[in-house]
Amino acid sequence: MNRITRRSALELSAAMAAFSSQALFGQTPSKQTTHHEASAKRVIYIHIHGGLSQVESFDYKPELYKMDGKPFPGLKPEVTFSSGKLGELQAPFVKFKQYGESGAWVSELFPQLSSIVDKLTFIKSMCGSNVAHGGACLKMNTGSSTFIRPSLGAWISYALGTENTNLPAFIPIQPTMGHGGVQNFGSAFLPGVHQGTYIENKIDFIDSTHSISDIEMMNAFSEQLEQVSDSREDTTLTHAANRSLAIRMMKNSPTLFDLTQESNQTKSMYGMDHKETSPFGQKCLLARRLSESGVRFVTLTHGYWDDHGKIIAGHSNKAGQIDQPITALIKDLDQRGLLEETLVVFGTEFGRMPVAQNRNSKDWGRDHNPDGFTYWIAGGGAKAGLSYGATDPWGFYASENKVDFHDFHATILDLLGLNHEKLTFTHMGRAYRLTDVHGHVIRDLMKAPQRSQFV
Amino acid sequence: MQIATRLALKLNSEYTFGIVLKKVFLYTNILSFISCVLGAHLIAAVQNDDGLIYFEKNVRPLLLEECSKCHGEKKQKGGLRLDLPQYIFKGGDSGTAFISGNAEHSLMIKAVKGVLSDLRMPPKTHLTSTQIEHLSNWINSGAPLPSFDEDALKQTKLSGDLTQVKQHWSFQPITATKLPQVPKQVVVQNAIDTFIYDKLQEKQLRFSGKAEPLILLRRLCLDLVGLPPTQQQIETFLSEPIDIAYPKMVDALLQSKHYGEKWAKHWLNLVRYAESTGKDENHALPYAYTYRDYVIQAFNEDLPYHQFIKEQLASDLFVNTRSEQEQLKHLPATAFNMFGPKNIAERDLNQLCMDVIDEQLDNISLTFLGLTMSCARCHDHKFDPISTKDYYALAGILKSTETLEDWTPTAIKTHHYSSMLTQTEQAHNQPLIAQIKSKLTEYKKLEDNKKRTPEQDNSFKLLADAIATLKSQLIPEKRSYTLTDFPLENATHDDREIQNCRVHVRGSYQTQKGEPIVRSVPKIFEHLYASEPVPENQSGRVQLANWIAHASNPLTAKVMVNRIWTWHFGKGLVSSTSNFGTTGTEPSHPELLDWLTKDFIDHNWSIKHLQQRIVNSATYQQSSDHREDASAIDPDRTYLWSFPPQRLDAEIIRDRMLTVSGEIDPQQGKPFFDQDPFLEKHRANGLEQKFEQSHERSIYLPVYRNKIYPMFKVFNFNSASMPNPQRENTSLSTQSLFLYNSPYVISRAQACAKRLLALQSDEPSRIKTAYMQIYQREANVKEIELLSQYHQHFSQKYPAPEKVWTLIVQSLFLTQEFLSLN
Repeated sequence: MNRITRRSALELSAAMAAFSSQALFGQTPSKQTTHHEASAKRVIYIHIHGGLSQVESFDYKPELYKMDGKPFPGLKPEVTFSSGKLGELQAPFVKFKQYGESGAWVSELFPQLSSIVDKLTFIKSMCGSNVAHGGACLKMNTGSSTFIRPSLGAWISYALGTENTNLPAFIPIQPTMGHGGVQNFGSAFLPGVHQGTYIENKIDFIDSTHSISDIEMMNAFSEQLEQVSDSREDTTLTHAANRSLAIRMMKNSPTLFDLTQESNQTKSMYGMDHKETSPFGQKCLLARRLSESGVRFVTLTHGYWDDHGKIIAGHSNKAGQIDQPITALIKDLDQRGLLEETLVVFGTEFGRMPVAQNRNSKDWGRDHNPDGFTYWIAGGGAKAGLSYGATDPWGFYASENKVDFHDFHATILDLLGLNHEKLTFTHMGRAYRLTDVHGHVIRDLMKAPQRSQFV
Repeated sequence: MQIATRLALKLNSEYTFGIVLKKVFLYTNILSFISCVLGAHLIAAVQNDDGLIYFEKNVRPLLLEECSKCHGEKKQKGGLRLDLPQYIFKGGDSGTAFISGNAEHSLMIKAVKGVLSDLRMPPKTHLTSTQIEHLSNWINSGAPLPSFDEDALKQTKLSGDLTQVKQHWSFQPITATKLPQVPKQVVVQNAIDTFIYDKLQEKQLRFSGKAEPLILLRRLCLDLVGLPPTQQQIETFLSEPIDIAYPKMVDALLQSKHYGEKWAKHWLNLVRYAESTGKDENHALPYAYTYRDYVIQAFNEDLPYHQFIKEQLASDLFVNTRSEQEQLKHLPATAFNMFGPKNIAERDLNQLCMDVIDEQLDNISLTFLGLTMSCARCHDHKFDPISTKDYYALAGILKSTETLEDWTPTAIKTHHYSSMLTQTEQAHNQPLIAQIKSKLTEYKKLEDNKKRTPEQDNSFKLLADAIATLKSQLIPEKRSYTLTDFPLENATHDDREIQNCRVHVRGSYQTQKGEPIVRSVPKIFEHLYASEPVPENQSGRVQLANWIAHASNPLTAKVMVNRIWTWHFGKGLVSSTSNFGTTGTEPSHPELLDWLTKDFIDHNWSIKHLQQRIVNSATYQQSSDHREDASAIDPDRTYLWSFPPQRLDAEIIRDRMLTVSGEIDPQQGKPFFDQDPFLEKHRANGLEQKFEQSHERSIYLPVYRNKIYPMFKVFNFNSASMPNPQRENTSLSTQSLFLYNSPYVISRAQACAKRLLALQSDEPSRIKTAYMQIYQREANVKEIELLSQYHQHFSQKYPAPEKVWTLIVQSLFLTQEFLSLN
């Protein structure tokens, strides 16, 4: 019987190690795989989980202050999250000012971020379709609140592969396990390698109670066993290559996940020396390190902003926890020359209503509002200093240049060099897209709207 | 239409803007009347395919989304309807909405651009410039509209020719096929081998030799019962000539209670079995396990497959002919319809209802027929003969079936508890529950308070005691049911209101159209056999079940035979196992598939009979070794020139580790979910401990969506949210990380090491035993040599034999041989 000889096996495994990618995460390293010239190589997606109030952050509505306590003059949405009739309009509890050359409006909840508004692109007319967190998170991440579909990160991993063969292409850092849970970073019908490898602080099972030398010895032992065994299969080599690569990952990882390697100055820039800002500061810093190492798509989650009540304390505290870290992330990427090719997204599954819940109490809050809310993006070819779209005078409904999640996804893919209509995967006989049959690329958001086509 | 346009333009240039509008509409109204009289000719003149596609893609969704709330079926503000072509064309009180070919002067465009002071649309929002552009482009291109013959909606439309579609291989009736001739010198065990041999000949390939006896035994055990062979099985097997021992072992394994535990796993995976609702709220389904147990039993008892289908679709409706005990045993079967992930927090209940039905329909048709159905929710299926009408005829059946008591999360939570008790028992519990709940609120406040004063601390403890006392007075949940208190969650029943569905245009319940479609089974196989009409007072699940499980249905048996084949060989005769439609793959051995299907039906749809045929074939008993010559021709082993090696499924790897470490608990453990109604809604606390500490077989571990065990996750267990006909068992480096570093694996290796060290023997014979224990085969000379070398090496480094053996065992776990079926 003609088996692979030991020598040819070794030659092959050397060859495999040489272009190790396939074995590690089953992905090929990126070659020329985009449809057109890309302006972003990677994405960091900051998810403000629970629903950030647009009228208390970036969407300044003078009318809302004037009409405090009056009924909302427009139509009540057909479906609302909390039942009952709409409350009265509620003036935001914060003041707004204009900043930078762009004159962007920022509320006093984000004093640090206001110093870098000229690097940001605001989208004031985002709209979703689902009033509940789960549906809205799924919509934001997969484009569908109804069907099980691959997530944005999985599509990007599928399209572009990994930049660093020792790391997965898609890493969500401490994502929420509710509200859609793993489906928010799942691969659905795309090959399983493309689902997000979510981490708490580092990759699962990368730490060992065994010493590296023992592990190397076990690896050598099992490899030799496979070689002297009477049976030999064609997949053994992939398997062996994976064992070796896992060891390489273990050797590399302590440095990657070890934030103490950063200078004190950097750490304090991210707010790691203060109790309030430290947890999210660490996540932001880790995101930068992962992104810098070539992870295509990193998501960061901060929660939980669902302030149906006590919004004053709730939003103030949480903004205080993220303002410095997110500002540091943008500045740091910029300093390192990475912002050019890294698209940072700051978004939430939906905004909050300009009308109050429980208005007459000091514990008032705001209900979910998928009909109009604010995102900002930075770097990666976005047109800095722009404010795009608008809501009605009260910040309830997106009214000008509406951007839905399909449009937004199409735009992100476009910045990454991908045509959302061409990025398809055939499953059960149908070619699927992230944007289904929808989505328009919003070229106005781009520094270079037209880029050279490859295919 | 063109005359109308020209006239409108002329008028427009003659009059000033303000006056002109009304007059234009007057004229165009008359003109549209004329065009109606002239009939479809005028309209056809401006129709062109590209324009229609443009309308469907860019305009119709826009009108439905932005306009149909006020200009739809329910409301027609200003007499205008924009949800269907005939109304779009007709216009409203102010006249026609558009002037074909002239967007600029069309009322619709003016309204959305907001150039008119008294008419701005939509009133509270604005269309984006792109949307406006779409509308304008469409109007300028002549505003083509699809045919708006009312009847067209009700008719079955197919993009292809129906007769052509019907010639598709999988839709052909199953016929008897003749066995191919095989030369005498070729060893064949049964019919399967003759078909396989025939194809191998054609491809210039040949069979591999028979696998070694112990490899064969190991394959058979892992494949049929999901466990490695026991020492006793090895001895029995080797005590007789293999030709006698092998079929005997096949029979014994098929009779083992572990057989159902292995084969239920495949089925549960296929039907997206899980013990929580997934998606947003992710509520536990504490009784889901009754379905799992039902499936295990069905496989063990070799329930005829047609019966298995009927029970899963309608066991509640077939009950009357059975004893109460029998009925109870089969009732959980219909939970099959309920495992789909659900957006429990969806506030739009109509949407939720149709989403659930859609998921159920797709699950039914994928599982049993190997056809996708959900495309037809929005439009006639482009590739398969399923029309939108068929879809809504089926949707009515499910709409008339109650699958959850209520759609609200509260109902799910409390219902688990109360539905299991009699009214008196509930009455006893209710005041207690109220007291506990109020105390719990206080308790939780204090619990969150990290800086409690000593008094607060004291009242915290008192509260905890009081809650415990109150809880002890509750009449506890029952675990055995009678027919009347069987948990609803696990059984469908016909809804009080039996109703038909109307067609939902583009799948949206907001745009229902036409007469309700009478509930019925699809029309695709009308020419092959008659289906029963659905009685007016029943949902129609019985008729659907009978239609699917009919021996003349060309798909049902074929699809299942191919699934069983796939679960043995790792690849199907048809590789797209859940897609037998025109976009699926063609069978590699069509005659064999037909032959097996006929044989399956002739033997009363017995799955065990089919499996006996498969595993007794010479094809199955081949060695799995790589062969350069054959590989060059057929690298994927499609033509089965050997047994195709496969990575074991996650559950089998775990069970195998637990078996070789001597820790496995062959008994089924207690149901996982505590029936305490006061636990948080995500009642999945303790899942990981369950995984680590309980050593029962993996099939008995709860499958909780969003909390899939880390080991299962790295070994390609899917998210349990979509039907998974076949695992995608790829090799990943994260698997190696798990095998090197996970405390779970290290513990198993340790237990195995201890077990080996407990044997009174010298190191050389311990090495042999280790090999036998972990790989269930004899070690060859080189392997023994290697093991001794590494034993020596590790012993020099570590004095403790347990550590040394742990490292050795773990190295054996790391090999391909341990992780695959070969």
